[in-house]
Amino acid sequence: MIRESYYLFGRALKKLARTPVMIFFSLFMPLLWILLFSQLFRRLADLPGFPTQSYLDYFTAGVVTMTVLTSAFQSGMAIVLDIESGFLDKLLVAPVHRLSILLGRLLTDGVRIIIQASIIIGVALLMGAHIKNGFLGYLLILFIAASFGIAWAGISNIVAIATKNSEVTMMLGMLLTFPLLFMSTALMPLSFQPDWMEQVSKFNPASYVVDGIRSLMIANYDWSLIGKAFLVVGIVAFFSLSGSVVMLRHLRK
Amino acid sequence: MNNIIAVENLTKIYNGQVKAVDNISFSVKEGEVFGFLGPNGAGKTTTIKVLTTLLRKTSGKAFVSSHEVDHNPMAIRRIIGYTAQDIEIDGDMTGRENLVLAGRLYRLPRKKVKARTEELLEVMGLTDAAGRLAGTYSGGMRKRLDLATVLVHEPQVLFLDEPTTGLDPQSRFALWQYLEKINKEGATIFLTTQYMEEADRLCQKLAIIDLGKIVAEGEPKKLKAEIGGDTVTIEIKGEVETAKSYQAKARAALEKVTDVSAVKPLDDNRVVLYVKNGGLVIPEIISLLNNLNIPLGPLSFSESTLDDVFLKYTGRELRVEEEKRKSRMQKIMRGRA
Repeated sequence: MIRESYYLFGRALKKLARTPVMIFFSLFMPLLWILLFSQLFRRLADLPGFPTQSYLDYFTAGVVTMTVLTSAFQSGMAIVLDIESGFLDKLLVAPVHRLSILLGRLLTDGVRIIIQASIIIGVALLMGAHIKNGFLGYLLILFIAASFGIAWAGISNIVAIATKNSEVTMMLGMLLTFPLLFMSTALMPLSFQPDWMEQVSKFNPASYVVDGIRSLMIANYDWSLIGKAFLVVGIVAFFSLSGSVVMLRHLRK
Repeated sequence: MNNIIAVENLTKIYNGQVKAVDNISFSVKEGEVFGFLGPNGAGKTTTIKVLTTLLRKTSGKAFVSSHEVDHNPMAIRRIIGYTAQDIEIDGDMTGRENLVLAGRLYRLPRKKVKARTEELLEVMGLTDAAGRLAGTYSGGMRKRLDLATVLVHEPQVLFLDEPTTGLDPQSRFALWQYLEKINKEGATIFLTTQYMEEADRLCQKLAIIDLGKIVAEGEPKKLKAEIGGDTVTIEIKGEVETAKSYQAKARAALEKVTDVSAVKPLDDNRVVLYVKNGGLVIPEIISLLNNLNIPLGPLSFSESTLDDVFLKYTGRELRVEEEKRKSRMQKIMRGRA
């Protein structure tokens, strides 16, 4: 199973390398956010009770998570293309575990997300952001981002296999991403949010990922926040990946 | 020889409504080329998708190499190759990469993957294009690459869903030759087709399927023999009026000949006979008609085709549209000559 995943990972990676524009496609919005919103909201950091001196330091974790969400929601597009070209059928008649078919694809999404997240963090650093935990912190941020991306991409794959429609897959991603970001700690600390939103944020997986990444940027290693981020990633991954495998099996009506 | 495919009372109903395959049973012997012949929508693709583990059946049993399709699909996947009606290749990879990936997914050793890839590129005439993205290939090349990708692992059983539909005559011929070669080397081939010529040339055994049911089954020769075996056409000389009366007279007389299974009038001055053994019966027919003083014109004699078989069992022609177009084309060509 691992070998097949690796071969299919190689295939998807090769395809990504051949159309590197795919990397920049979903990067446009997050770049705009980090360039404009970090300026627009910079005075927020002056408010009493705001956790950081600089809004950019606070906001970068939010934009990294946004990058992960938008990018992960593209994942299903590839499987729709494979369904349309019939290539998926070819994989399904081969003696390949269904999870391998998914992992090959998802690992490539992980690579794409690592590249994208590094670009976003690079821009943030150029704009004057700091990572308190240095290079190791940076690597851990990329690891959280990639693993959350893989877990989240599973959702996109479930939708893609269920609808076999690239427009629907794409639209759902767009529709879900922004509410998820606004109702999380991406832009604003919990204590600054209206009560009802605070309740939603608490149940929003994106909040935990944002908090984990942010802790690595602004605090010394806070293992309880980092641990919670990984726990949430694990839970999402369990449901989205097993859901995707079930959906792939279900293709065989 | 053992049965490598066995299907018992297979039924497939889509969405609880559409009965695509209706209680069919058949078997394929190891090393055989078995053809499923039928028009669009007959249930050919559904059957092939059940056997290749892509579709779950509604009821019945289906075995490939003694593995039940729903119980042990992985074991079946290891030993089969399948090409769908539509071409299934990755256009963003080169021809060679498509083949290498296929070989690896079937866990062939690295050296073997390389050797098989180059061999198949050669066989399919794709060596020169091997480094190009498959998306840039012509239709015929894509089809050949598609076929090559399922041959890399040397499958024991090959399932081909209308393998030559959309191929030019030259590629079709080359493909037939190659299929005959791998069949000789031991591969069992299960194919579906709408082409009589293809079924006739390749298949050792045929099943004719229409509206989800198998309406006839057997060797192509046997199927043709059942409707007579040979077709004899006799023309009667003379004016239209006299020819017509002779035509009726000839029909009445010929129907009594032992080996004649059916007599049909054609135009005003011809009679068509379906006979068991044309070569032996013709002298008898001629002397019979001579005794009746019927003036005979040219006589033609040919083996019955599977088209005649299909017509007999389904009451329809297999590829009416295509045949019509072909005969029109032939007329145009003849007009030119």
